[in-house]
Amino acid sequence: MKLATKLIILFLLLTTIPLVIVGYLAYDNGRRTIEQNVLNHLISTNILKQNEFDRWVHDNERSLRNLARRPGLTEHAAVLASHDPNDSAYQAVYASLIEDHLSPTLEEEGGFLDLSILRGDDGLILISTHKSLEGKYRESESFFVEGKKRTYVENVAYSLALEGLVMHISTPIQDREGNLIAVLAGHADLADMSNIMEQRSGLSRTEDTYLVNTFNFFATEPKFGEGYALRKAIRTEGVEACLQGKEGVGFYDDYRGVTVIGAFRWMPERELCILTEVDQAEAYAPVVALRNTVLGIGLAVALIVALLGVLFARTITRPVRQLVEGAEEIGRGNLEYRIEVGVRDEIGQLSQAFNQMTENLQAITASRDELNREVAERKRAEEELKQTLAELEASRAAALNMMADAEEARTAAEQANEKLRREIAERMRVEAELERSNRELEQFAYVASHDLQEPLRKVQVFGDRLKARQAQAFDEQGRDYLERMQDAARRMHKMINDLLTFSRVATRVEPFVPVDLRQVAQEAVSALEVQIEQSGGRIVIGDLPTLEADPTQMRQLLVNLIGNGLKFHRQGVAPVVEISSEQIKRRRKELCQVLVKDNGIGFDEKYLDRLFKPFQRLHGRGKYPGTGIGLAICRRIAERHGGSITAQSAPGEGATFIVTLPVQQKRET
Amino acid sequence: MKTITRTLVVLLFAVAILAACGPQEVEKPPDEVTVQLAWTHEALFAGFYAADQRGYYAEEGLEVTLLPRPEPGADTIAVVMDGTAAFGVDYGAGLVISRSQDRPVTAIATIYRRDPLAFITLADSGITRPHDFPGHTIRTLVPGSSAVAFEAMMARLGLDSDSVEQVDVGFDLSPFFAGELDIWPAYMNSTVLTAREQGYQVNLILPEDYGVHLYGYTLFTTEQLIRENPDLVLRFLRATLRGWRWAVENPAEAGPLALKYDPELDAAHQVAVMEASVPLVHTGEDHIGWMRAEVWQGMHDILLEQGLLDEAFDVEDVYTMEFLESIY
Repeated sequence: MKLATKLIILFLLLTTIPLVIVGYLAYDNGRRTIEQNVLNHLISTNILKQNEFDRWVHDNERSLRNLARRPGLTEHAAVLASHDPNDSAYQAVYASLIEDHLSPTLEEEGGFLDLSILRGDDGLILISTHKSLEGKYRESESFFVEGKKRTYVENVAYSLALEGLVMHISTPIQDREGNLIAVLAGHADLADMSNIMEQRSGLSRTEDTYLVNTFNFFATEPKFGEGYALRKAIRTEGVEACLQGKEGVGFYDDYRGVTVIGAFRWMPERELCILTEVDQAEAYAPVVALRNTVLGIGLAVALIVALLGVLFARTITRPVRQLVEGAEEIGRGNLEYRIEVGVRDEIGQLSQAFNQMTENLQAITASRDELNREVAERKRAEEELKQTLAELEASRAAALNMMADAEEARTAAEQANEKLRREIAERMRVEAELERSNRELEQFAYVASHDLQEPLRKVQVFGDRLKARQAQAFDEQGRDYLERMQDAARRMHKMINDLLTFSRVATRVEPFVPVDLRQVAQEAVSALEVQIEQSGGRIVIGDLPTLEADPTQMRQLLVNLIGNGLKFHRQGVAPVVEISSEQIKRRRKELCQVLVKDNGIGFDEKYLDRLFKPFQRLHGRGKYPGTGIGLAICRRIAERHGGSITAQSAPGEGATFIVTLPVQQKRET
Repeated sequence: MKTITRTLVVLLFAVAILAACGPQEVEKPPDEVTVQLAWTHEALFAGFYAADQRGYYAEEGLEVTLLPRPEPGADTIAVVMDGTAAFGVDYGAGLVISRSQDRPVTAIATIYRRDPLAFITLADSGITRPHDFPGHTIRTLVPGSSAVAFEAMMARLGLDSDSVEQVDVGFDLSPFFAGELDIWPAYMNSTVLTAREQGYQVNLILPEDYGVHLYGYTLFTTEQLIRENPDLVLRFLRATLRGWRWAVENPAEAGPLALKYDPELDAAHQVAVMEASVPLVHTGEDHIGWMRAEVWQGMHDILLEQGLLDEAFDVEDVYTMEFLESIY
C-alpha cells in the first residue's frame, strides 16, 4: 500500500472512530430519551382514559342510583308493577313517571340513550323512554338478573332489538322495607365512551386509543376505522398480550398493518382492554432527525479529515516520491541524474547523501569500465590467434589424408578391373560351351527321333500286314503277342512324335507376330472338340489379350493345358476349364498372365518340379493316357517367349496353370 | 472469497439433503366425516365452509363432506342416527324433541345462539307487538320450529294463539307484501333480508323479547360417536369453531364461500346473509358455540308445556359441554 493511502486511512481512523463512538452514544441516548417519552406518554394516556372511562361509568351509575331512590319513582313503579295497564291508576302514574322522572333525568344528566323500568318478577319492561321496548321481557338478561341485586354495569354487547351496540347499566328499585319492586335500567350512550377514547392529547397525529373486548372484537371505533365496533376482530400482539391480563408496551403491527408503538392495559372490572398506539414512523421522527444530524456531522467531519489527510500526505510523500524516482533512474544506469529536493528535513539530507553516493559511483564505474574494455580486447585477440592456428593444422591434415586415399583407391580399382575381366571371360566361355552343347543335343534329338521313325514305321506296317493276313496262323498267345507288339509300336510312334514336337519348339522357329489369344483359344477348343464331347466338359474363355508371340506355339500351349484339364477330371464330375488373363507389371515390363483353371483331380504342389519335365508322370499310364511330355512342351514354349509357367493346386481341388508372357518381345537386333 | 462461496454452496447442499432426508412422518389418511346441514347451501353455514376451504378440517386430519338438506322438513336427525352423517345441524328445540322420541342425539355446540326467527309485519300495519296479533292472519306455521316459538310467545303473554288465523300461502312473500296477510314468520338472516332488499320496511317481533329463548342451529352428533371416538368429535368441533370465528371476523370474505357449493348463489346477498348472521352467532356475551343450561331448560319447559314432550326429563342429557370446555 502506498504511503499516502496509509496516511489518509490513519487520519480517517483516528478521527472517525471517536466520532462514530461519540455519535452513536449521543444518538442512542437521544433515541432512548425520545422513546421513553413516547412510551410514558402512551402509558399515561391509557391511565388517563381509563380513569375518564371509569368516571363516566360511575357518573352514570350514580345518576341512575339517585333516580332509583327517588320516593316518587319508587311509589309509581310499585303501582305499575302491580296494576293492569288498562287501569286508570296505572295510566296516571305512567305519564307522571315519564314526564317527571325519566325524561328530565335523561335530558339533564346525559349519558343515557333511554331509561326503562322492568318488573322485578319477570323482567317485563313496564315503561321506557324508548317506547317500542315496552311490553318486552328481559328476564334472562344479565343486567336484569344482576340489577335486581345491585347496581350493575354490563359489558358492551349487540342488541338485536336495537340492532346496534349497547351497554346496560341497571339498579334495583326497592320499597322502604328493602323489597324489590323493579329494576331501573338504561342504555349507556356509547358515543360518550367513544368520545372519551377519541379525545386526543393533541401531541400526535396518529395517536389512537380504543377498547377491545375479551373476544378480540373492537368495543369502540378506532381512529382509522368505521363500523369496527363489535364487527371486526383484532389480533395484534398488543391485544393478545393484553387479553392475557398483561399490561405493558410494545412495538408491533396494528390493525392496519402499520408498525406502531403501543401501550396496553387490561381493565378487569370491565373485561376490556384499552390500547393507545402511535405510528412508529411519527413517534420516531425526532429520532430519525437526530440520527440524520449525527450522520451528517459525522460525514462532514470525515470529509474534511480526508481532505486534510490528502494534503498532509502530499507534503510528506512528494520528496519521497522524487527520491524514489531518482533512485529508479540511477538504477536504470543514468548516473548523470541528480535528485532535486527542496526540503531541509531528513529526506533532504537523504537526497544529498544519495547524490554524493551517485557521484562516487559514477567515478568508480568509469575506471572499472576502462579496465573491462581492455581485458575484453586482449581476450578477443587471443581467441583469434588460436582459431587461425587450428585452421592451419586442419588443412594440413586434410591434404595428407586426400593423398593417401587417392593412392588406395587407384590400387583397389585396378584389382577390381582385373577380377571383372577374368569373370567376364570365364562366363563367356561357359555360355558359348553351353550353347553349343544345347544345340548339339537338340540336333541329336531331332535327328534321332526322325531317324527312329523309319524303322518303327516298318515294324508297324509289317505288324499290320501280319495281323491282316496271317492272323489265323497264330494261336491265341501268338495273336496276343502281335497285339502287344503293335501297341508298343504305336506308343513308340507317339513318343517320338512328341519328342519331335518338343525339340521343334526350339528348332523350328517362326517369327513373333501379334497374336489374338482369344482367337487362338477358340481354335484350341475346336481342336479338342471330340475330347470335350466325350468328357461332357465345358470350356469358358474369358477376356484374353493380343500379344507378340508365335501363333502355332500359342495354340500348342493352350491345347496342351486345356487338354490336361479335360483329361484329369474327377470321377463323375463334368470338367470345367476356365481360361482368363491378367495384365501385370513387373520391372517396368508389361506382362500377361494366362490362367487355365480346371476343377479336376488336382495334385500335391510338392510335385511341381517333376510336372514340367519331359516324360515325368504323376499317374500310372493305365489310368490316364499320354506320354508325359505335354507340360514340358508348354514350359519350353513359355521360356522361348521369355516367360514362365507354374501351377497352383491341391489334391482333389482342381488346378490352375499360370503362364506368364511378355506382351511385347524384345527387339532382336 | 472463492473458498467462502464454495463452503456456502456445500452448506446449502447439505441443508437441502438433510431437509430431504429428514424424518418423514407417515401421514395418516384423513378421517372422512359427513355433516348434514339444516338448509340448502347458503352463507348461513359460512363457518363450516371456512373450516373446509381454509384447511382447518384438513389440519385436524379430517375430510369433511357437507350435505345440504334435501327438502324443507326433511328429517336431518334421522340421517345422523342411521350413520349416513356423523354430525348434523338442527334447531335446539328439535333436538330436545328428538331426545324424547328415543333418538339419543347430543348437542355439542350451538352455532346460532340467538334464534333467527322473527315475526315480521309491514311497517305501516301498526302491528308492533304480539299483543296486536289477535284478529290478524299469519302464514302457516311449521310444526316443531316456528310453531313452537309462536305458541310459546303467545302463551307467555297470556294471548290466545287461536285468535290468529293461519293462512296457507306457500313460501313466496308476495301475498305478504300485497297485504293479503299480516304476519310472516321470517328469519333475520334470510327472509328479513329479502324483504329489505326489495325495499319493504318491516317491524321485527322477536320471541326473545317476550321470554322465549330458543337456540337456533345447533351442532349435534350421536351419543355413540361421543362414546366411541371423542377425539374425532373434539377435532371436528375445534376446526368448525375456528371456521366460525374466522367467518364472524371476516363476513365480507366468508359470505361468498357458499358459492363453491352452489355456484348459482349471489355473492352480494351471501355477504348480507353473513353480516345478518354475525350478531346471532357472536352475541358478545359468550364464546362462539357456547351453551347455557338455563336456555336448554327453558326450551325443555316450553316444549313440555306445549305437550310436545311426553314427560319431563333431565335436560343435561340433550347437550354436553365436554368439548366446548376443552376447547375454550
